[in-house]
Amino acid sequence: MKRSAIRMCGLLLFLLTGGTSSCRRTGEGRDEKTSFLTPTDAPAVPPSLSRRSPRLDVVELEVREQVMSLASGVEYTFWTFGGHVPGKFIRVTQGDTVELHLKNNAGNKLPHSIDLHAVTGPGGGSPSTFVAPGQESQFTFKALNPGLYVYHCGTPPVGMHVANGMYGLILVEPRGGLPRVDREYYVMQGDFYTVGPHGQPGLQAFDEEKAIAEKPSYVVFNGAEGALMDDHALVAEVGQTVRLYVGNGGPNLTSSFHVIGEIFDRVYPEGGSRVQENVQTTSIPPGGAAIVELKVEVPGTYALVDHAIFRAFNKGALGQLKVFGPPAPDIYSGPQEPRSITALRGRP
Amino acid sequence: MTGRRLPAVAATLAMTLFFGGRVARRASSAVDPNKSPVATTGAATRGDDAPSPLPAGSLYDLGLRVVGTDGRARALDDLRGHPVLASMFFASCPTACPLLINDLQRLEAALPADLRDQVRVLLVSFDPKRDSPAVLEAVVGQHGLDNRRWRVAAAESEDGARLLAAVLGIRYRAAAWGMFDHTVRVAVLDGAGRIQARSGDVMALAPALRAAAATRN
Amino acid sequence: MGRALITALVFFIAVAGAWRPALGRAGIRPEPAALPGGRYQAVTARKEAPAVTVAPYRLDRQPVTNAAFLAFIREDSAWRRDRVTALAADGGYLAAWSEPLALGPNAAPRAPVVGVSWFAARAYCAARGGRLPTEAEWELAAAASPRERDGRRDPAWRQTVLDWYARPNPATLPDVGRGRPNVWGLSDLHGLVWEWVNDFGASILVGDEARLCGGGANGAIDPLDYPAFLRAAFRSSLEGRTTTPNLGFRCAYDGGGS
Repeated sequence: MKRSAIRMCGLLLFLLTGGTSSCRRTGEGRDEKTSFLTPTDAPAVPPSLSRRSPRLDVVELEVREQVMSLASGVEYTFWTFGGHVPGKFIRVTQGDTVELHLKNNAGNKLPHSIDLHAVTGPGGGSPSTFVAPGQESQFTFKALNPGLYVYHCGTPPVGMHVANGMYGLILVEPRGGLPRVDREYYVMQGDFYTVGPHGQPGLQAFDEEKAIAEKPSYVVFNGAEGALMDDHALVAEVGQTVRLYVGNGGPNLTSSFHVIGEIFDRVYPEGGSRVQENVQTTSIPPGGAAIVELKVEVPGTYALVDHAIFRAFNKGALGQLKVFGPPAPDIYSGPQEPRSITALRGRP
Repeated sequence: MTGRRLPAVAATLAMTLFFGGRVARRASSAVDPNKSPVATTGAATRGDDAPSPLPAGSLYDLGLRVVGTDGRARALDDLRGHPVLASMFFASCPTACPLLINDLQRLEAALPADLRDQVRVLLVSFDPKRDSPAVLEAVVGQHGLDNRRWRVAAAESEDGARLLAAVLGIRYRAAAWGMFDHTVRVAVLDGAGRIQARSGDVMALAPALRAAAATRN
Repeated sequence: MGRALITALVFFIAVAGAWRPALGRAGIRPEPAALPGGRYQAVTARKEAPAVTVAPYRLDRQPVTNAAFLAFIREDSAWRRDRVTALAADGGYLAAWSEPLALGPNAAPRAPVVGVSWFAARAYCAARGGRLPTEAEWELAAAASPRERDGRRDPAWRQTVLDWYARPNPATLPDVGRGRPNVWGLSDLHGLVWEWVNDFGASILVGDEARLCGGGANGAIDPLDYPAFLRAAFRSSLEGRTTTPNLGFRCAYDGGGS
């Protein structure tokens, strides 16, 4: 019994240390230019890049645990990358080297880390960034693949850290950048689990049993019910092309992302490199993302929803895109006075 | 005493007993340095007969003792003046620790001869129960370690092992069948016992070792 | 007759006050509670990993207070904020105090001392004839609720423990001893501050450097042990010199009653 355990251990260690025992120094003596990134809070996106040569991108994220509003009258202690849910949007180019600093605010209770799906390397960076309150960690990775990627806290119990809002997006643009559009926005869906039922006011605690049973109390865009409604709605003008970077932090639910009254002219399904066209609803799994593009032609208010529709109207998965501009009655008439079909048919 | 005065005297006496008792207790719980199992860090606590005071923050301030292959418990002070590679292991470790020893030997071999003569390697077991002097002697023999430069020993107690591990940044947990889950980290100490660098990548410590040798005191 | 009675009463109270300092003034602590020990299995261990047998021990009823720690520093000045070494503590050491030897408005005398490193906590406990508790001793003590030795099966009690993780840190920490003690007479094991254990280095999260020669575990977490798992994760993030604004400690002592 002992010998086979040792053998297995030996095999495992051989595999584990095979890659790490050779010394690889990174980050020293590079002659790339250095950029200091300023990641943004949703729904804003950092300006587009069209870089031809790789750079060293230095980015700093600070984890802050703080009480914020989850819905009207409902408060929750969110664990955040940068003070909001979702966490800050990071934008780099394929081939860049990214030096990521993770700070854990001294006022926090828990240790945290970060796992970026754009990272190739063990844990996506999580073991290298594990950090106690008041401390700072750092690691550096090369963005090998383009795409739109989720990042989230990788500290066990990971489900609880994610359920409390620790997720965001990192965009790795192909060299030369994505084609330009008129508007870009950052939207991220998440499910929340509270001890009290949906709508119960006051400071709500995380409900571990509901999370394990996958029965959320809230399903929202950008960290709160109403985060993209009314005064906070996304805006565009008739004739503009809007690109939405849509992520799904989960922890549990897949989003059936749809904009009522619009069609996605182009979708990069799963945030990858292929383009699908003319899509009504696209599936975004937890821990996944998609890029959708739509040209808006008719003014009005368009609802962003998770088309598993009870989530939209009973749990909060509802946002708005308001389009301003001249009407386009030949595309969409609005209400009409019904005319007689019989009369229509009767005409010679 | 008259009846009228009695309550006042009694009250005064009572107050004296009440607060006096507290003062006495505070005095009796004063620290006795001889009682603490481990000396406190910092030069301020060393007595007059101690060797010349070390700069603050030295491993050698902790009063740690280790039991060598000869079975004798010794402090680490004889490492003073040398740059040191320090780490921890356990003898029953199937692969990770032999790999660590190999890496340390490789690093040693890659050093220029005069630096290699100065460097000392301190390897302390966090499994003092099983890693007796005889077991440690076997480890030395298996790897052909040079006794003049390598100090293979076991912590004097489990608490001593925890203390050294905390300083070096090494974590370990007892698992089944006498095994341990543990991290691998090596520290470079300068001649005064101050930690200059710590890393899981042994070969990356060469520059720190050179720098540690260069600093006098 | 009445006067004599009052006098006797005053005497009795004075004597009681001098010999039973359970009124919680600064620097004085009630005697520690006695626990019988028992068997302890860590939440992250596999089934075949050894359970630890814990001998009878004693544990402070409350975390060490600011006032008590100040008294210790006055006895052993090496642990003053302006004298401690970088090996023994980091930059946050006693940061909430206004001066090296004064508490100030952000550190109430009876609030738990925080911003202390493992080395500092050990020195304090050694000076008091004790030591830090082991993880096993601490977790065995913390499994108890006000009503039962193992309160983890009580969902209501479990939720009160979990609630602490849902709340942000208060701006100033409250005094120790306000919550209901558990069946062992211990307060504040939950709901106030994290606490040091002597073998914090036994908490390892699987990472780049971990060598699982014991075949570590990453299985499903028993929902009963969620808070214990959170504590294991927190301990994994600590080094000996780490201080945080919500990490304190209490002392343990060998031997105990029943």
